[in-house]
Amino acid sequence: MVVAVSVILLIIGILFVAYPLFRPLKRKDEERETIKQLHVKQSTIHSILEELEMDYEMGHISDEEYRELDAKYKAELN
Amino acid sequence: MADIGNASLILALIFSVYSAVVSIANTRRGSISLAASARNALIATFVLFTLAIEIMLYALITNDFDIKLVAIHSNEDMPLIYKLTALYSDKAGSLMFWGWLISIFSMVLAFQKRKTSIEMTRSATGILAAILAFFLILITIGLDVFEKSPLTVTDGLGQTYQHVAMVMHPLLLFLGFAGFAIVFACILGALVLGKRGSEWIGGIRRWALFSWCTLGIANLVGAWWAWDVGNWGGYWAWDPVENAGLMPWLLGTALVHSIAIHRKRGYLKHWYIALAIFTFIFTLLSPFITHGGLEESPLHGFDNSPVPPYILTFIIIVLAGSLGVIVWRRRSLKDEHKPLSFISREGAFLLTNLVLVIIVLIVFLGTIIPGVAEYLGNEEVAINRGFFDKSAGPVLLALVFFMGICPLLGWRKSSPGMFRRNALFPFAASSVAAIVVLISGVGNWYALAAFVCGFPFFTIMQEWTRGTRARHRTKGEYALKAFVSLIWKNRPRYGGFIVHIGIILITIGVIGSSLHSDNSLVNLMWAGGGVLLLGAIIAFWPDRKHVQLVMRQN
Repeated sequence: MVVAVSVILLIIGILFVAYPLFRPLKRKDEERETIKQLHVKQSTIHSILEELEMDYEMGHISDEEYRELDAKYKAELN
Repeated sequence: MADIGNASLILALIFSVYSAVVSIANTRRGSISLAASARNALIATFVLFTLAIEIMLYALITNDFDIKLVAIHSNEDMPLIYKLTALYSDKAGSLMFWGWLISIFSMVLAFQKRKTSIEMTRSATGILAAILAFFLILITIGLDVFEKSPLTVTDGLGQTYQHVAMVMHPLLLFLGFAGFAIVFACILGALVLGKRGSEWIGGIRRWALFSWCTLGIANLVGAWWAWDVGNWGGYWAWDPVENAGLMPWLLGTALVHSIAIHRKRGYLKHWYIALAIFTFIFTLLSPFITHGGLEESPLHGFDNSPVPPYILTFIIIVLAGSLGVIVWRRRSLKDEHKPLSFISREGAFLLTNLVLVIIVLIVFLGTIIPGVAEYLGNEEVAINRGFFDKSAGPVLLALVFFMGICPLLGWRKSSPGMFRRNALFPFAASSVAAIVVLISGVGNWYALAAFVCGFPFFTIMQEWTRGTRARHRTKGEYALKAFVSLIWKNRPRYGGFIVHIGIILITIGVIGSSLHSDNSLVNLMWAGGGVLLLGAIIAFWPDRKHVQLVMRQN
């Protein structure tokens, strides 16, 4: 009984693990991933810009530093 | 059933090894098919691990005393919740549960749609599979979690462990430990690919925060349990097992702050990588200590466990492997930012991290020295709580004070004038608080505590007020909306202050309980007999099994 169950589990596992090796490659996933990465990066930069503006308003950052970083992040955004 | 559980674990081990080997071998090649195959192997590992856990839980619920774990830690009369939590009362069961949590988190990472990427998942898969393989080796080869029992029925879980805190404490602890494994895998995975992880820092930050929070709450719940069950010398005894939970949390604290600075400013890159590695290593040190790797814990832990050599070997592999990857990818670690000024917020964060690391070193040395001395055949070296209180206590207090300094400094470079202006209100307000405490005659130490805790508290109040005003001015929001938006839209910083207030409150509690406690040893000779102790009459009632405060002197 134990041996039979183990063998069945092993075969199902092997088929599942081997399946990607025999199916055609999907480049679409990669493209979707690249777009998603860009969205993630954009949202991170937006939140950093908001924090930067807040720091500037509260005097935690100099004018020069603010302008430099603001320009840098906005350039990254574009 | 036990045999099927065992077979599932062995199959899970095979698939995890396959996943680890294929992922690591595929690092350079970057084949999508191989990466998908490795991911499927990780999924198979999770499914088989879950099957084994289900079998064990079923055995606990149905009182299958043929399994040793069930026979030792459970009995028919125990409430269902304690039958289930008996799983992590056992030395093999606790490792099984921890490993299973890592496999769940691996699945969450693999299928996470937001703030993560296929690339990160792929790179972390191999490392997570290797970690899972290690846990599966521990519970199948080091220990046999499904070991058959020669016993019929035992007393089950001890009365002190049948406590709601003991349901929560290990669960939260292992959630935190498992989360730090994910952080380690993601950061090291990024490094393996020659990336800094900056692209994925948002996703990593969430895992680090989750792990840090759960581990912190676990330590607090553990302290509550120690206090509630009594006879433990209070809520914190600096026991090696307690320290084993505290050290990764302290390193995790430094890690969370390093990640925040790196995300925002690009600094502390080396720090956050090193901290991720060492936080994970210290989570592994926890079972090493709990299983008696150094010495048997005087208060709690597992006796006669064979796993410490396995854990030590794995720690060495993790350390050597991580160092190897760092050396291999050292070019990608080069700092392209301007040199860091120490009189700046980044500098203050770095200093705070150093202080945290110093505290960990103190606690680590205090924890391992007795065991190392014993191993070297020296005379017994006893390090009592006085060592920790006197060495780590003041540094922890300095850390709390530092929480008030960091927000007052500007980014990159801070002028003394700016710092003076920002520090004026918190300094004046905390000084007034200290003077009030001094005049009220509570004691000099309390006045010092009022200043140390008051300074960061008033800094937070000032930052919140200024931030609210700034939003009111720039966005035209009314006060309450401006305050809520301030915290919600800048959660890493202004939301983080809420956690700082929690730390300040804990510090006040610890200071109060430490300064205001006194110990006396008395014999209560007869039932109901009272004794005058520390200004109160206390009586012992054997039938009620507790000491009762009868009357307090005014």
